[in-house]
Amino acid sequence: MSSGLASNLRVLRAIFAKDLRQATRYPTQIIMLFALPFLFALLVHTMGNYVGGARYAEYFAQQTGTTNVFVYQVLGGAIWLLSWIIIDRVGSSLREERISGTLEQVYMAPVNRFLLLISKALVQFVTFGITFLVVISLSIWLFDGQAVGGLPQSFLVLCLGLVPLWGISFLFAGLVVRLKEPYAFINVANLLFSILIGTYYPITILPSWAQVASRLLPQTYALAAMRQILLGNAPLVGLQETYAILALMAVVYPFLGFLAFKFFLDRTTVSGDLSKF
Amino acid sequence: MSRVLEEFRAAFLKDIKIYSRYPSWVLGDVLVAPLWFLFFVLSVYIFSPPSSLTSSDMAQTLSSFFWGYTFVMLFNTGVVGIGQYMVIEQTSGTLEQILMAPINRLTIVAGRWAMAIVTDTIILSSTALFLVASQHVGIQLQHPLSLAAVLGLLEAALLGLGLTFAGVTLRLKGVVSAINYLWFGVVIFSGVFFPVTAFPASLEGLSLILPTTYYVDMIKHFAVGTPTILGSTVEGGLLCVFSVAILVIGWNVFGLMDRIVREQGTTGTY
Repeated sequence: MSSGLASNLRVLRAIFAKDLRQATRYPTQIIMLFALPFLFALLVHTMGNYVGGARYAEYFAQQTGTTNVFVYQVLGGAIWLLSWIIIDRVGSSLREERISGTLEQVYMAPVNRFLLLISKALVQFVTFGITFLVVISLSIWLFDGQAVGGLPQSFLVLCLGLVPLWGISFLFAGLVVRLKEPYAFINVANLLFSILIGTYYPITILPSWAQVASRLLPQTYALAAMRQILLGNAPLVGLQETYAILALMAVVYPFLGFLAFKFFLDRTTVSGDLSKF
Repeated sequence: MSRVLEEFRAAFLKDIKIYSRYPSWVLGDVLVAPLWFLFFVLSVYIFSPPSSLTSSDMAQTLSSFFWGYTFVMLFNTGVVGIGQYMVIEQTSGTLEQILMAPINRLTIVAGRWAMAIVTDTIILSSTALFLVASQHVGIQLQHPLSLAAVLGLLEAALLGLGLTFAGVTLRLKGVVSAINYLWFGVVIFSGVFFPVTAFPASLEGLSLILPTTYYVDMIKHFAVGTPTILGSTVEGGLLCVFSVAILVIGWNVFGLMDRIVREQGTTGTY
């Protein structure tokens, strides 16, 4: 048992080291990760300024309950991009292995496949965890110094929200294995998520049917709770309920996601299409 | 000349063949553009006066957004698409063979560029249909022929920019992030979603030295009827100069980078 655990940890460490090495080979992409939430916030903020005129912040406060436009936007942008990158990277990494001609070898290795998927997301977790800390801390420090105390709790909410997000990414990884070209599908799904989770607005402005879909996504709860903790926004549900919902999703989503992945992988393996693209 | 045209045709057919092999790409293109538009509109709506979505001012603003968005899409598929094309060929291990083929250098990206025009047409048509179907936005198109001429000049400039990025991608690895920075710079400072006069004076100066500002300005002028910054005749002349200059620069940059990586033997490295 212990040797199994040790070998699993060795696998995790090896894949993590490999992916980290690849990720750090392109430093401009890492800088981009830090810059994107700010750049999107700047873009939306400037557009809003143009549309709302001199009273744009007042209109914003009426709808969102906070006058701290920039932190509200940066928080939304950070969670949205985190969600996008995790879902995209877990799926894309398989696609890249396929294009590089290494997917078949990787999947023929005597390694637990669940572990392979988890490890693909591990680098994203670390890089985005650091990104989140820097981006959000910097925004809070610059625009709302009093909220700094809420950072640890909001980071806890984020970590809890990441687990079900991985589950969703497993489903997409399965689709990548089954479908030959996943980017269009992943892009559509990620954009739908960005609209549904209330990236730059509260989900209450969406139609009621869309709000139902919003409440199936862990990012919606994580983002609303973080805005509640850091900006004092009206909660989507109470904090205790948020923890409970995210914990439930953290159990159910990875389980369902892995089942879906295994289903698609088995079908692809039987048809002999694993390495085709 | 006929040989070059034959090469272009072959390159275009190859990319069409790849594109049509994945129906999900077509479906994705049809869906992604309206979703991006919806995402931006919802994000901006939160800043607008209550109940303004139904006002004629908002309809006018959204129509202007659409034409700004048209520019973004063309820029995206042209510049980013061509730049990334090199990365795709690199990772697929086919770049070295393509660059060693005895073909015109322009042919290498021409197929991708032509494909970009096809996908842009799909993307913008689906977005326009979505907007019209939503009953909040009527797409204004006041001078279609003049607009088509401006879009033609823009496509020539995008091909030049795409060639530049394709060349830089050959030489420097991991250029995609740089393209992203450029994308944000262009979208924010070229007055794509709001007029450059909305900037403070110092930033307005920056906008006015960007060639892309004048492409956006002329697109909106001929589509929605917004006044131009320098006058339509002056800007029309500027766009002709910009398009030719950017195309020539792109051609030379690509040729230079191609030569350098051949000498260094790093063509296929990524």
